[in-house]
Amino acid sequence: MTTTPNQVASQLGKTTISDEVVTQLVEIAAKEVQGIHSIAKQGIGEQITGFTQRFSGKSQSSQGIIVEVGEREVAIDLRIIAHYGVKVSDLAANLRRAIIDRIESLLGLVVKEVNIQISGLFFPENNPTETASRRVE
Amino acid sequence: MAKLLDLIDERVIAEKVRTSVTSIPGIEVPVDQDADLSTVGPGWRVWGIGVHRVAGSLNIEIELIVTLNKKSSIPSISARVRRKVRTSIQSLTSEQIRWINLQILDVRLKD
Repeated sequence: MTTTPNQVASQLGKTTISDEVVTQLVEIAAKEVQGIHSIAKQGIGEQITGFTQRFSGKSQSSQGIIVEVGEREVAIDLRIIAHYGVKVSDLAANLRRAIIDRIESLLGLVVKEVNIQISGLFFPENNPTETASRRVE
Repeated sequence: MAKLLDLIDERVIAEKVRTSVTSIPGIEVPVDQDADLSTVGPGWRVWGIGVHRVAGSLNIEIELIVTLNKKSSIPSISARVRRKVRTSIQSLTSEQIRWINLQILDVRLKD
């Protein structure tokens, strides 16, 4: 069990929210923000990511999200791939707002930090499967 | 009195907890390998629920898979689960419930 003691204590007992739940909600919120292509893979290459993924059970995309959850607060670090041409400051502000809204409303935790790292840009013309137009029929 | 209270099996309590929790819409309790917790006795096992008697009172642990909609949240669901479990167990026994600890294992979002 990978659940860590993210406990909201009350007189009646504790509510423990697993890291995976927080990570999952961050991922969902991030994917709803326009201008984000994907969550970046964490660390030192796809091979190792794939290897650790097999043992950790985490999805590839969630490995670019690190959460630290306290009794009442949460801090979030995430690495994203942004669409080329999007104004990064607006993207970061929208992303931060979306994550804070989602976590605070659904989990009742106060979001202390959302640290965003733009670790790559996505160019649609480099990915033939995602281009709308074709040169030849 | 204490001897009479001891007659209520932990299995009965665990099953009552499970039934009352899963009667709440949007709440599931994991089973088999999805659960990390269970209450076990000879020939039986109740997944996702832990019942412990400590110093004459009951401590209950529950694993939950929660489906949230736009109006619900983990704090409101947690309060509802605790109320429901407390009420249903108090209808079964006069034993004191000390803790109801909840572990949110997974969250699903409903539009």
